[in-house]
Amino acid sequence: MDYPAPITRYLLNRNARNRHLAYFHLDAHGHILTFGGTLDHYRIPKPQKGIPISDLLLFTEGMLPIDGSQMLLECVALPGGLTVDAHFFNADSYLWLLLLDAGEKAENQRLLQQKANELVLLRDAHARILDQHLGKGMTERLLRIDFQKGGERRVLSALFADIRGFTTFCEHRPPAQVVDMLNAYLSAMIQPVLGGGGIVDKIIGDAVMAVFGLLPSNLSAAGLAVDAAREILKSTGGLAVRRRKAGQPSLSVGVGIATGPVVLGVLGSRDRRTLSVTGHSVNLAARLESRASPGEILVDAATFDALKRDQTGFTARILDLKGLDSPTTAYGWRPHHEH
Amino acid sequence: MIKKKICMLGAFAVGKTSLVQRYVHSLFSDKYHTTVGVKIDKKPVNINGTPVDLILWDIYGEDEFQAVRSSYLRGASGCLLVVDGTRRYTLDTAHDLLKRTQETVGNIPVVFVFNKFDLMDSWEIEPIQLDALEKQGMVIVRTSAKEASGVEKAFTTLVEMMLEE
Repeated sequence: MDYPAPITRYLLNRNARNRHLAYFHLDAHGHILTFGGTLDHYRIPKPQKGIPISDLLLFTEGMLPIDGSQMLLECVALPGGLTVDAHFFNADSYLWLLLLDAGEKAENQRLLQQKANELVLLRDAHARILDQHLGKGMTERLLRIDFQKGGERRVLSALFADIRGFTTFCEHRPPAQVVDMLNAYLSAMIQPVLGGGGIVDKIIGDAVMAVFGLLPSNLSAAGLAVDAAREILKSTGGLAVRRRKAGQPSLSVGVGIATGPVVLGVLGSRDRRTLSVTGHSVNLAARLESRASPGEILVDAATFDALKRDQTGFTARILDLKGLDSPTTAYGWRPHHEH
Repeated sequence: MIKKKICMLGAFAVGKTSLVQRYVHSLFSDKYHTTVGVKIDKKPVNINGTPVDLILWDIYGEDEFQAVRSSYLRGASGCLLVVDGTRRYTLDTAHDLLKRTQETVGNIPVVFVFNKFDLMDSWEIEPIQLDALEKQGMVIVRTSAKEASGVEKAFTTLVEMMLEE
């Protein structure tokens, strides 16, 4: 489209002036024929005619000849600290290189890009922390689970595992020894949960709360929870043996499991949100754990019933549990060597 | 004097600028500064008796809003594909960039640089993934721009490959 000459002249002059136009007229081999414009602005020394442009401007090395009739390199930082848009174009069998100051554009872009990238890095860091808490890759898997905004009800198995006698152990012990012991036992409790298809919901002091049935599996939530609990007793038992052999103190773990409908939801304020699992069976699992003997798994009737063919080794007993009106039937299980 | 253009490619914040700064100026800053467009540095080196002027193109990191423009790759003799070991998806970005580089400038020598080796405890990329890349014939170098480890090796390895071409 043709525009009246005054418009074209006005725009060209305005652009050339505001963006400090500098230009080079080059032969087919990239040697400088003529030059002009505001080279001083870019702190480019006046070149000798006939020298390769790449001797003057590093970024042109390997760029010539251009493909097609024109090429644009946006936001090239020059050694002098300024940023240019470099326009290459062919006209009348010669090549032209125009430099236009892109400092303002680059700075605006930098501010936006910096902010956006920092936000993504922050998101990545949060995901990593969640992964450490919930298990590697778990954040990604959880993000794929579609929770209804207002919360939803699902049947899950809740598991509580607690180090017996840890509070007494902590008394009069140096903090480093307490932290060392806690880390060793928590690792031995968390790994079986993660390896067994569970999610570590919380670490409360010396206790771990986990849920099973949230991640897709062909096995029942109760079966997964009991298998994980057996592994917890096995790994913490092995740890205790190793510690005793090394002359270090050792402790035992008790586990409680209950199965039933729970309410899942994202709770919290605008600043801090967390996945929450609440319901009677969560409370029941905590109560059962508090009554489990060291080295014992204590499960509720719903968990026991769901085990079907895997009920061997469980012993029923009636318990009066805090917060429950009537006595509860619970089923205890211990590893063979402790029977 | 032989001049060789090397493109630094990778996702944003993988450490491309830090690697160039470490290699050319022996400097490192912990603070993250995003790169807009491209910054070009020159480093004269002597590789096995051959003097070479390396023209290093530190190109902005690719993110979900902007892909690397193919015009920046023009004339490249080699390419360092930089991956942040602590962010798994930056390896996917490097693979995408490799494909686009090959489409634009052909099969030029490429070295996969796994940066941030000083943060090994936080790495999301597993050793098995590095082994798989090597089995595919890719050259990989582990680096830490912060601790200046592997940086010289990454560039030297690439230049040696370029000179063999």
